[in-house]
Order: sequence, then C-alpha cells, then structure tokens
Amino acid sequence: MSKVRVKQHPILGPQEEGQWVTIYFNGKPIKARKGEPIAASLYAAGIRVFRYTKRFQEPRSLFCGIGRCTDCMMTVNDVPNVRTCITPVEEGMRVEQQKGLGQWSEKNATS
Amino acid sequence: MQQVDLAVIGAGPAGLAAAVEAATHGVRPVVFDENYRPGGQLFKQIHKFFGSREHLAGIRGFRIGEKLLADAYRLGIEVKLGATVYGLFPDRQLEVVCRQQKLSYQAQKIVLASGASENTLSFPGSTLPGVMSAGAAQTMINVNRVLPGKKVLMVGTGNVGLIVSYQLLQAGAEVACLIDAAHQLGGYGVHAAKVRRAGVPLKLGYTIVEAHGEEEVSAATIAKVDEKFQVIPGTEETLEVDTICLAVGLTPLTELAWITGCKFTYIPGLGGHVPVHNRDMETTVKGFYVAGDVTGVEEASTALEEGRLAGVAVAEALGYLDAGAAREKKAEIWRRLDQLRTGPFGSKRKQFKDSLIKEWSEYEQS
Amino acid sequence: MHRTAEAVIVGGGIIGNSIAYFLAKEGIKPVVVEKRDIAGGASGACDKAIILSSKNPGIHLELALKSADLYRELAEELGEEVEYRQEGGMIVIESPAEWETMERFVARQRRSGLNIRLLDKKETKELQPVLSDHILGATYNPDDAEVNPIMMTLALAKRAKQLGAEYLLHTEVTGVEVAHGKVKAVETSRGKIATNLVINAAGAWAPLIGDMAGLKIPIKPRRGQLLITEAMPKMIRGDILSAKYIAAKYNPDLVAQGEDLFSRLGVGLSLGQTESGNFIIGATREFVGYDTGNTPEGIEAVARNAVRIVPVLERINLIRTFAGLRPYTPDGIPILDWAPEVEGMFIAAGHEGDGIALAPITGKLVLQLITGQKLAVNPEPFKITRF
Repeated sequence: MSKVRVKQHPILGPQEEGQWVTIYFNGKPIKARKGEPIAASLYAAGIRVFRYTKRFQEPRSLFCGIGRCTDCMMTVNDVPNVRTCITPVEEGMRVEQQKGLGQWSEKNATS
Repeated sequence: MQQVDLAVIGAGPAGLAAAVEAATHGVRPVVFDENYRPGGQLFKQIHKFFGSREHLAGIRGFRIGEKLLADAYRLGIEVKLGATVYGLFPDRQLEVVCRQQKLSYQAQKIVLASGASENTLSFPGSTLPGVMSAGAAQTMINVNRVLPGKKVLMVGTGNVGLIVSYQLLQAGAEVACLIDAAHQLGGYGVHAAKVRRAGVPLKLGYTIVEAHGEEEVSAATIAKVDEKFQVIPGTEETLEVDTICLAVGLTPLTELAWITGCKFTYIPGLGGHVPVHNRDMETTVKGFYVAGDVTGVEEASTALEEGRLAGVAVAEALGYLDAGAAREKKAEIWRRLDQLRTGPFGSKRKQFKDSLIKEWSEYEQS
Repeated sequence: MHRTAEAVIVGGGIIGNSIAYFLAKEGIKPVVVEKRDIAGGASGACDKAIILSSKNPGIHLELALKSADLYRELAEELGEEVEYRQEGGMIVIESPAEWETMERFVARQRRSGLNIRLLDKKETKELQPVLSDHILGATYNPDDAEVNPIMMTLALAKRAKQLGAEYLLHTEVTGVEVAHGKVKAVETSRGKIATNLVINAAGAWAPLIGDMAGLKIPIKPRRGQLLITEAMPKMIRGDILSAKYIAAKYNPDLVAQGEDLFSRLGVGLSLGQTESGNFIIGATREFVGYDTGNTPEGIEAVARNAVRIVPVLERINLIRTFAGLRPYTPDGIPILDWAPEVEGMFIAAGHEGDGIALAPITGKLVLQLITGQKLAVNPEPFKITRF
C-alpha cells in the first residue's frame, strides 16, 4: 500500500485492517478502504486533480473537506457533481475526473 | 408528517449533547446530520482538551465523541445520517432529504447545532490542488488516515493552525513552517511550544504571496508584511511544499437560522453574523434553540456545554423537568461555561457571548 | 431631502427600468424610487423566458411580438451581456384533450403572425431527448427567446443612469400628494420629491401605491415558487412549458377547482437552463397576499411535476428555492394607462408572468403615451377603465 496511508499513529495506534474494495479512477483500478470518502482513496493513490473548471479548465481538488465548497466534485457512476469528500467508496465505483459540468451519460439523460 | 418532541440539527458535540441531555430527562429527540458519520468535527480532534477535570480535560476529542455516541445509542436516540435539513417552515416544520427520500417532521422544539465552516483566503494559485483548509487536512490524517501531502505550509497560527500542524507531524508529514500575517501568535502558547519543539519555525508577520504549480502545488512564496499587512518588497522567499493548509478562522453556518427569521447580530470575534439567544439558548423565535459554533465560534468543550444547556431547557419547556431541577442543572452548566470562558482568549469570548444574551433581552423588551 | 423631478417612477423592476431607459433616452430624466434594490422584487425572482408561444392570440400576442423585436435591438443597443439567446420554446402536450386545445390555439396564433407549429411525438423527442415518453407532442416556436432577467434589468438601469435618470434605492414611497385632482409630490422614506408625473410601475405592489392617491387598481399579487438545480451540462434547448401552464395562466378558476395538489397550487411547468447550467424550474400560481415564502408543498408540487415531464431531473440536486409575486390582472393583460381622476398619475403594471417578455414594448409605449407620440399599438385594451 502507498506510503501516504497512516498505518501507525502515536495516538491512534495501528490502523485496523478493515475491508478493501476496488474502485476505478478514469477506468484504472485503485484499492480503497470500504467506507472512506472517495477523496481519501484518491489521495492515498497519489491522485490530487479531481476536476477541471468549466470556463478556464483549471484543476481543482479537495478543499473544505465537509461537503460545502464543491471543489472536489467528480463524476461518479455516470452522475456528475458528486462531492467526493463526503461520499463513501463502494465496491466497483467508477470515478471520473470531471471536465467542466461533467459528462452526463446518454443512459442518464434518457432514463 | 412525523411529530417529534425535539429535532436536533447537527450531530456534532453541541447537537449530540443537546439530544443526550434532553433524552436523559425523557424527551424523544431525532438528530439529523448531512454527513454519513456522526460526531461532527470531534473525531478528528485527537488532542487533549483543556479546562477543569469536570470538563473532560485531558480527554482526547475523539474519545468524547465515542462516549457521546454511546450515550446516544444507549438512550435510543434516533440519529439520521446522510440527512440534509433543507428547510425550516412555520410551526417548526422541518423538511429533510435523506438518501434520496423526502421526510417531513413537525417538532415541538428545534435545536440548531450546525457548526461552522472554515474561511478561505485568496491569493494567486489558491485554487490549485494541494491548497486546502486545515480542517480538511485534519480529517484526512486523523479520520481517514491518509496524508494530504508530504510537506506542508500552514497559514495561520490560531489554535487550529497550531494543533493541525502538530497532528500532521504526528501522522508523519513534514511541516515546512507556520506563518501568520499578525505579528503575534494567534493561539495558545502550549500548542505553539509543541510545534516549536519539533523544530518547525513559526514566522509571524508573514503572508503567503503565491502558490506555484501547474496541476498541483509544488512550491509557495511567502513574504514579510509591515504593520499595515503590506508585503515588504525583497523579503520574498520560496518554500518547496506540496501542500498549503489554510487556518484562517471560521464562520458560523447560519443559513437555517436565517430562514426562521430569528434576530441576528454581528460580532466579528464570534465569526460574523450570529443569532442572539437567551440563557436557555433559545432564539427570538419561540421553540427554536441554537448551540455551539452556529452562535459564535468557540471550542468543542463550550459547544458541549451549550448543547447540554439547550437540552435541559427543552426538557423543562416540554414538562419533563420541573423548574427547580432545571434551574439547578442550568446553573451548574453555566458555572462550567464561565470557567471555560476565562483567560486572555476566553474572557473576550465571554464578553461577546454576554452581549448576545443582552441583545436578546433588549429585543424581547422592545 | 427635498427635490423636484420631471417624473418619478415607482418601482425598480424590469418595467420601471425599461420606462426609465426609454424616457431618459428621450431627454426626460426620471427619478426611480425603489424600496429594495434593482430587480429586488418579481424581476429577480422569475424564470428567463421571453416566450411568445404562451400568448393568447390578439392584443396579447401582438404586444409580445413587438416586444420580441425590440429585445433583439435592445440586446445590442444596451452594450451589456444580458444572456439574450433565441433558442426556441416548446409547450408539451400530455393528453388528447390538450392536443385539441393546443391545435386550436396554434391555428389562431399562426393567423396572428406567429411562426409556431405542432410537433408529433417523434419530432418532440428529437428536439428535447430528456422528455418523458408519455409526452404526446408539443408546440414549437423557433422565435421564443430567453434573457437573464436580473442582468437585463441591471443593464437597463445602468444605461438609464448614464442618460440622466436618478435612482433612490432602499427608499420606500410613503405617500402621494394630490391637490385639486393633480399629482404634486411623492413622499418617500428619504424625503419628498415634487413632481407632476408619477409612473406607478410597482408591479404587485402597484395597488398599494394607488391607494396612496385614492385609486383602486385591480391588481393582485400571485405567488410563483421556483426551484434551482445544480449546474449541469446543457441538456435542454430553450424553454419548455406544459400545456397545463397555459391552462393555469388563463383559467385560474379551472385549475382552482381541481382537487389535486397541482391544480390547487396552479402548477404548470416552465423549465429552462441558464448559461451557467442550472435548471430553473417553475412554477406555482397562488393567491396568498404578499407572502414571498416558499412552502414545502409548493416545492414538492413543482419538483414532482417537473420530474413527471423530464424524468432525469429526479437525479439532479436542487440547490435553492425562491418565490416571486406576479402582478395579476383579471384578464391577464397589463394596465398601461393614465389614472382616472388623478392627473399626472400613470399606471404601468399588471404584467403577471410576462413582465420580462413585455418590458421593452412597455417602456416604449409608456413613453409614447406620456409624450403624445404616435403609438406602436392600439392602447385601448390596456385601459384601466376596462375593469
């Protein structure tokens, strides 16, 4: 596992083994701890660019961490604008870097 | 529409304490929180709290959170997570969206304990990935146990900046330095001493000029400021950091309070616009109470006590607690609150909080 | 404060500002008195449609067509970005009965010069793939347009100011001084303004201003609750209304008799997507006095109705709700007329949900009526004496 996971902690002790799931970032599989926010899984995998803004295509990432600022929004399972700092990962989740307002799939648009 | 005795909005220290206290006396509360985890910001606070022993001083924040939650479950309190209260309507009607479902409640009493959100700071590069609030970094390391970066610049030397810097070190990150535009330390000396002992420089009278990087932060330029907070040319220095944390204060999350039309006042020392309330934590809207950071940014310990106060007041108002017993309980909580609001920082806050209560009385009399 | 003015316009909404602009352009420098801020009332709490499809053939449609022409000119003339776009509008049809009604409606509209037609189910779906499968068809008018109403109101105000109009914002009109049947002054929370001409463009609040001059104006506030979603990629073109919206608009009694929530609240769909990607979803039509609050049932009814017609909205988050007070008149046509018995008082209000669409022609017509110029349309239908 990556070095950015805090497995030992002087106050909190060793991290419980927990359950691991696989999620997909832009199609690429990533190991994630079940229940942690998507943002944490991505940071643990060294991914910090979550989306690009609509007008100037600037990169954005985790900012407030409490679901308010919307900087961390990504397209998850074909749904754009998911706040990844407060949305827990689930097995098989497809997480896409969001460009602008996102990729609203035909499937969603016509459902 | 479901009828409930008490609806508590926010499952952080203030909200949980209000629910637990009220439930202890027989009130049946429902607690709503938009997050999927209860505890608000308690679970990322792994440092020991200050205050007297009755204040759970020496106990770490997350332990307090565990105890509160255990109490809540023991008392059978319904805690609805992933539940966003999107509107408050006349007669204390709450509209909630919970996991794609719409729920409606009519509550006898409401306690709003929505907390506060961190302030941000604008500078060139401030939107780059790697720039984040100190609280977000704290959640990452202490709750999610993932480092937000390897080398951090902390902007702000209030208690949040100091504590999070130390916790970043504990988690295994490097902290390049702490800066503050003010020329004196913002937080407690004890917290600063810990950071200094770890060899991290605290640079007072410094501001951030720019965050560098294409896709992510790769460096930051800081510079000295004069007494008017203007950058002194020639003092710029560039630090190689991959993360910049902003610890520049908090603002109460008051939207739901505004909706009710309760009276507000503006006190910068408490974070901005805050609802005025009486000694029972009741606002100028009958049956609508506030507790914790939503009515003035303080600390988890004061939020707990304000929550308890609201819980006792609600139990009394609903007839679960007689006036004598309630008076005694409230006096005890107020004594503890007064103790917490001492010292150079605390006494200021006490002044501000007293003025909230004074404004409530003036409004009621007008 | 004591001042004099050539004209005092009461109301800083889109109607007041359009009049201010047309007057100022002609060298008449009005003082605009607004109790809140520019676009602080219904003009800042509405949708963005400049829609012709919904207009009754006859004077209503004639006025709207003239206004639409003016919009194209104004969007250029003002020199400000007001997000004016001409992307067409459709009214969706959900039942055979509606189809029949709309067929007749469209035939009459075409005779009045509107470039509108009926689309079958397949054509409708091709144009707006997000529509529900139960939609039988729609009317479609390529000339329907849209504008950002707040930007438009602000642009008119900015231009009017440059041309010499004065603005007293956060200033409430507290009285209208009338002597010997003539307007003498307007009293405000910031002092008196001596004037011989008062233009009452206070929208839903126009009757309250009328009361101050002893005048009965048959306008009632009608609340419209709207919802805003998060920003989404572009999913619809132009505006989408429902035929039920037309029913709610022209037959308030008919819908009020219905027992279900939609009918009781006068819910008809009006849906558009802003430049920034947010959906604006409307709306209720309710008579509840001057209450601008949202209600849980109003929010729910508008949302459910929208999801019924555009199912994908179910998966899109609402981020905001608001309500505006439309100035309702019994026949759905505004009052643009001199007040009887009070010389110097002009009424320009009562546009209900058409204030944005009709603002340009209203400004122009009021100028013409006040200065005795040749009129763009026959003013008879707008007389207050018709009630």
